Amino acid sequence: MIAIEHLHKRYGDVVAVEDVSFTVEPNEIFGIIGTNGAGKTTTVECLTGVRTADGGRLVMLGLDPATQRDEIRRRVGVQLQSSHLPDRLSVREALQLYASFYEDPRDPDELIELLGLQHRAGARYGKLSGGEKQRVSVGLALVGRPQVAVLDELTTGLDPHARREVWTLIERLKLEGLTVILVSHFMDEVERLCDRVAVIHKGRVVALDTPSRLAAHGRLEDAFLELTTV
Amino acid sequence: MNQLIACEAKLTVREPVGLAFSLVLPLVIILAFGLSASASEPDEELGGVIALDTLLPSIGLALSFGMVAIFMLPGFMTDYRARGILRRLSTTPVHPAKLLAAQVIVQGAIALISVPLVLGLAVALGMSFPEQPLMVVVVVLLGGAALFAVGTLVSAVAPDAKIGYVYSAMFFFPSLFFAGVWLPKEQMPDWLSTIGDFTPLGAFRESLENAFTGTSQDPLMLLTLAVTAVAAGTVAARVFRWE
Repeated sequence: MIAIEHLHKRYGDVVAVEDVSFTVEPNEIFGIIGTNGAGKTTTVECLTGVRTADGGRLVMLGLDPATQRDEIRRRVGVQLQSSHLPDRLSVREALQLYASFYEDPRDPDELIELLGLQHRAGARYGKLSGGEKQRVSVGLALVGRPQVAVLDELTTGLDPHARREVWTLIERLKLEGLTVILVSHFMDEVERLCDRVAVIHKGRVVALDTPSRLAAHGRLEDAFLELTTV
Repeated sequence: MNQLIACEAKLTVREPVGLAFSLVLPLVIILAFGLSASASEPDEELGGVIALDTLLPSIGLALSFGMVAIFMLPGFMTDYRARGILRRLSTTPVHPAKLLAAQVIVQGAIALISVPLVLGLAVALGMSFPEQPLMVVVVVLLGGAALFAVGTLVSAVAPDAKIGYVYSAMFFFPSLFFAGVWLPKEQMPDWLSTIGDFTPLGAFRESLENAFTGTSQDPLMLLTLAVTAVAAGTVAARVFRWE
């Protein structure tokens, strides 16, 4: 369904992704973890056609991200690491606007409820807290009923309650058949949500397994630190 | 597309300072100068024409079109780029070019609204009704196209709103001078006045004046507007950075 073979991407002289390969199965929640600058975001940006790969083969929903970007944009919902909206647009207006981009969108009000933002539906984006903004950006990624959601730093900036609400939301959407690629810094998030996890370090996949098997000899965090301290 | 236009319209209305500069300021200027008796009499310094018939309404429209096209449009677009809004949009089925189109439509509508407001107020104060109303329409469309093309060019190259504002100001304030807003063109040396005829804002204002008084148009000035529209528009389309 989603496959990356030997992805290579550089920005000028800087190699962002050296050699990354993995596949994602339908209805899987696939995690990508790694330290800052490991190449996680670049990998998903190439996969969604936001950036063009310098080498390797990419398949997203059977499509080529380099040449079939339009179709991918219809079927893949993206949450960018820092995605912004105009300050003076309200939560409901933003979701209604993005809903209008897709053929069969979710009902914006229903989504607002799922995101726990009912009380803030009329509030302007600029007045929201960091966690509320984060939930809106998750909502924008999901409003088009995507087959695949690519979520970059899903719960960064959320308080513990909000994190759990967003996790529950993702689990619910998985039951509806959604496939998720989740870029994360948080071990607890990956352990709770992901079926499999790729650990990316210095532009390469250094481990790929289920969270429990990665953590076979202790905690996932220890395994991660061991893999990424070279 | 309709939703995008509706959103951009709401956002523009929620930016009251920009609206005040584009719609209210020209009216205040016409009111302030138009109420004095000398504005309704032939003015020696203007070569014997009546300021209220020529200079004031054409300055009013040059100001409102300039504000909207040269400041408001790039202000929104560069802010959208700097905040990653264009980038976010490029992951959806809607290309960010549609956001630019929506902005041009909304800001263009505001510019068009200023036409009856400015001319209405001037006529109420005693301006003679424009001799060639159709020519006014032609000049408004041509001048609007030229100024919005320049605004789009600023939007295309400025990385954020602050730098965009500097570019806009670098274009706009000298343009006002060349258009004869600071110093009437009749008092400028000929060579300076001629330069002004070939700046977009100057050509726009001068051609408006000609349409108001029924003077025959200078084809070179209309050509200036058309060339600016095509040239700036083409360059902007080539260099526009959507990220």
